[in-house]
Amino acid sequence: MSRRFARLFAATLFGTALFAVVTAHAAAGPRTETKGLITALAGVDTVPPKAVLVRIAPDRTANRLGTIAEDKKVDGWIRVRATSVLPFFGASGVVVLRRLAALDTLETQQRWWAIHGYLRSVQAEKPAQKFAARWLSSRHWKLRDAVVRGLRHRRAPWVKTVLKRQLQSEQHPSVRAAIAHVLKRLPR
Amino acid sequence: MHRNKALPPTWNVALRVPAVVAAALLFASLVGCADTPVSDKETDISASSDGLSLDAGYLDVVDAGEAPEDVAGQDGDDAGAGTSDTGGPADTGHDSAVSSDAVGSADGSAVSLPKSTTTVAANTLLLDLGEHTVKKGTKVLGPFAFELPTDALSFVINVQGEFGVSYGVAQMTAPGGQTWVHTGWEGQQQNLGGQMCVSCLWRVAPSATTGAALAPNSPSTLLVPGTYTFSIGNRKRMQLSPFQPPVISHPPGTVHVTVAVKTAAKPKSSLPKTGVLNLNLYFTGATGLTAKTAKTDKKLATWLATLKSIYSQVGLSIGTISYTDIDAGFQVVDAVGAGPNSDFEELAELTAKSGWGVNVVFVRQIVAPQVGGAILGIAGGAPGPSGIQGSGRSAVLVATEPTIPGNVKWDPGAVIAHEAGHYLGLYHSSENNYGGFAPAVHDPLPDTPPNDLSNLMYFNGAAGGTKLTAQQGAVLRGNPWVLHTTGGQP
Repeated sequence: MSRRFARLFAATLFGTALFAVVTAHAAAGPRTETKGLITALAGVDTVPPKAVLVRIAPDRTANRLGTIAEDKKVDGWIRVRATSVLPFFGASGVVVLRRLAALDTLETQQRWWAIHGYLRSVQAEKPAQKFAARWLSSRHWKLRDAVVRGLRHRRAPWVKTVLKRQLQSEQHPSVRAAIAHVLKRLPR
Repeated sequence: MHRNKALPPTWNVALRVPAVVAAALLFASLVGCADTPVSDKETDISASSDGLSLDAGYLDVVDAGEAPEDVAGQDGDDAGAGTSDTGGPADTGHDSAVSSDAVGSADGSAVSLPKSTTTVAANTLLLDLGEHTVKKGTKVLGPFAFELPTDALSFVINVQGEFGVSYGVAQMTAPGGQTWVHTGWEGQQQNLGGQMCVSCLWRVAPSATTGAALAPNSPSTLLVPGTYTFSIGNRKRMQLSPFQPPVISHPPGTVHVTVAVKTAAKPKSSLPKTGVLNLNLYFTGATGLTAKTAKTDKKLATWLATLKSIYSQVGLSIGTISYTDIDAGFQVVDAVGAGPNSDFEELAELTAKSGWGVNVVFVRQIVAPQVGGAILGIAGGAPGPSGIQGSGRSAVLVATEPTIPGNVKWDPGAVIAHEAGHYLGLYHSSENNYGGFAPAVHDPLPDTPPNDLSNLMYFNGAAGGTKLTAQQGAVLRGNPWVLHTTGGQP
């Protein structure tokens, strides 16, 4: 009887300890990692490398950065930086960038990085072309500028055609200057 | 030397696609990548860095994980040429630099001496050590030598070379045989994969296109008159994919070596406690700022007031300010691959007609070189080239609209002070060690406390810190770009 009781007691104790460890990890892990990411994103003229960001938050790094980018409680510069490093994360970064670009609640500066980053990092041409067309029709000249600057990183022939067409209708001098600048420097 | 516009960009996406996709699959299968691709239609073609720190401000790439060994034949510019370097630190062969003014050294190798000396400012001489052809595969150029006069206060070695190739001091011996920079430092892990010599008496950091090194930049390297002998590292680093180690090569080309020497206004006088820095301001039209509007613009006036206030702590005042418009296409500076097709280097070259002083360009946004990412500012080096203008590193860039409005911590005046601080020779007082995921690196100055958030040159300093120490002030005032009222204007 006493042996059975001892076994039951030990099992209960072990289960309780395991539960405590798991719940503590689940509760503190993401919060600690988000804090670590925010610390890593600080800086005037340094960019945290992908390897460091992944080591700080190994699980769903791009999604965590996206959450930081959207969190209005986080410092504005950190939110911009979180958006700007998403192209490091390939397909998962691309998905977050596309979502951020569509958020009207984000400030223009941050959406600039989302649009620029998406066009810089998405591989397939059709989604890129559709995305570029969508944002080239934006009323905000800075978002059109983001498209032009992002297209600089693409090699497909349609890029030149789209930029030349935009130049014909574009009224804003800064975007016109950006198109001229990028057309001269497209990858060959 | 300089840009060959006919060359394809070395960092083009086509080269990266197959390697990145293949490497991504391999990486995901081996490591269990946390960010699993969610769509086969939208996969990554972007460049990224797997290094431990990328410092766009004054380092090209700090990568403590970089292997010292070179990877043969993988350089974009030298594809197929078969760089066969396998060595690391032990290789110090001086096998390339040949000068018409070369003389024999004690060990039999040819030493390049100054071909001419020009007075470029009231108290600054420019020693021209000539142009030199660099053979492919050459790791170290030199030796070079120059005689420092008795009244010298400081000097800056400038090495202008090929776009995207990093140049820095590979070895330096001061008069009396004291080793300031030891051979082979670039291959040592503690020196951040060759991006900064932390273990040297003289802290030096190579930079791409035009390298520069200021002495003294700490109390460890006080100047004595006599002969200084040095050699130059020739190194190109390419991050071909985020899943592979960087590739190091030693490309051919031409370099032009000069030394700017700042002398005392009066014999035997020491570095003055005050100095004057002239600014050449360039406007792309970002945030509505032009050469015409800038003179009366309240924002700019506030930024310059911040700058003046910060520098006044160490006796540095702002002298003449010039205002010039520059191509609006550079409102966004996308540094792409930091070589051909780099906005930064092209833009810096446009400042060739600048007068004596530091060139500050106002742009809207800055995209960091190679991997991308937002930065507030970028300097042409730590230090930038001195006594010469129009090199691919002759500028400091400041973003006028980098962040979300209402972010009170951000002050462009402090960013100008931080980046110009790099340009005049200061390092970050402490680098970001990312909570222990990267080495803790501090500057070589004893009076800058580690991790002092209030210091202007803390890695995140300009986002809040404005303090400068006495020794930081001495470095700033020691740079040849800083004039002294006792020495007159150029």
